Amino acid sequence: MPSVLNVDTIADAAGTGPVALTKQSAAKAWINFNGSTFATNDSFGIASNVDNGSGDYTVTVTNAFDSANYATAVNANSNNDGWFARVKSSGSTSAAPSTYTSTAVNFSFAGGGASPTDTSLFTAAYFGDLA
Amino acid sequence: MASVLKVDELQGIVSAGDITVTSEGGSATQSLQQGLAKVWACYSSEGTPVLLDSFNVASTTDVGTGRFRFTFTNAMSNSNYSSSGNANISGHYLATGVDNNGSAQQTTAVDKWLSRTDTGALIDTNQVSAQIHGDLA
Repeated sequence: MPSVLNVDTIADAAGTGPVALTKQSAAKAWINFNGSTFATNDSFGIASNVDNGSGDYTVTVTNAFDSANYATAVNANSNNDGWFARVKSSGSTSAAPSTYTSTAVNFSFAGGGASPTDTSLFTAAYFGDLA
Repeated sequence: MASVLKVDELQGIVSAGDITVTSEGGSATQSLQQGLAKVWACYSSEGTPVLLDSFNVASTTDVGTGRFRFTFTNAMSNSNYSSSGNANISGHYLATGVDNNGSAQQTTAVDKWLSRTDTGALIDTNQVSAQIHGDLA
């Protein structure tokens, strides 16, 4: 018979730190929003989303990461034409992104050398250690 | 000595599907369930398509060159989930996204595409990954 533990909160033995999930890691935040109307359809751990202009969004998490060295995964709705979601560049791949801090990331939706444009569906997920 | 709790299933008391966990740095708490990936897949779309490994994927459908559908075993509660992906290929820059030529994001499946960023041409490859984060039904 499987054992079932009913509990509302899990912490370490000291009661203040995280427990280790054996060989697993959870996303710390995710969002699904319409980049055209700028309506957030659903989200987890997201504090705000700022429309900086066409295809240019800054998404801020509720709980800060312990550094800026976390991972993000993004995707967007497109018409099969090579346009894609990405972290917004500062203009050079050798320089830091426009915004990638412990609390916020600047994303864009663009293709090739074309100017960014809005999309009806943009999604992002965040992975790493929270502060 | 670290304490280890061995158990096969975890449920919340107030709400069976909601357990709070403490952050790595100890300064925040948030939901465990909402952060877990609900679907992931590693898929080869070249030649005869093969689902290489997966979680909560019932089936895959080859919709056409560079276009594929992942059907979930357990349905999402709505279509407003976060989906992401990546792909491997030599010699081209690739873009992947949600396919708006089909029904795109559904509660039971997601349609994805993969294309070259230089020409926009749809393309198959030997390794495409997809992840879904959101709420299960």
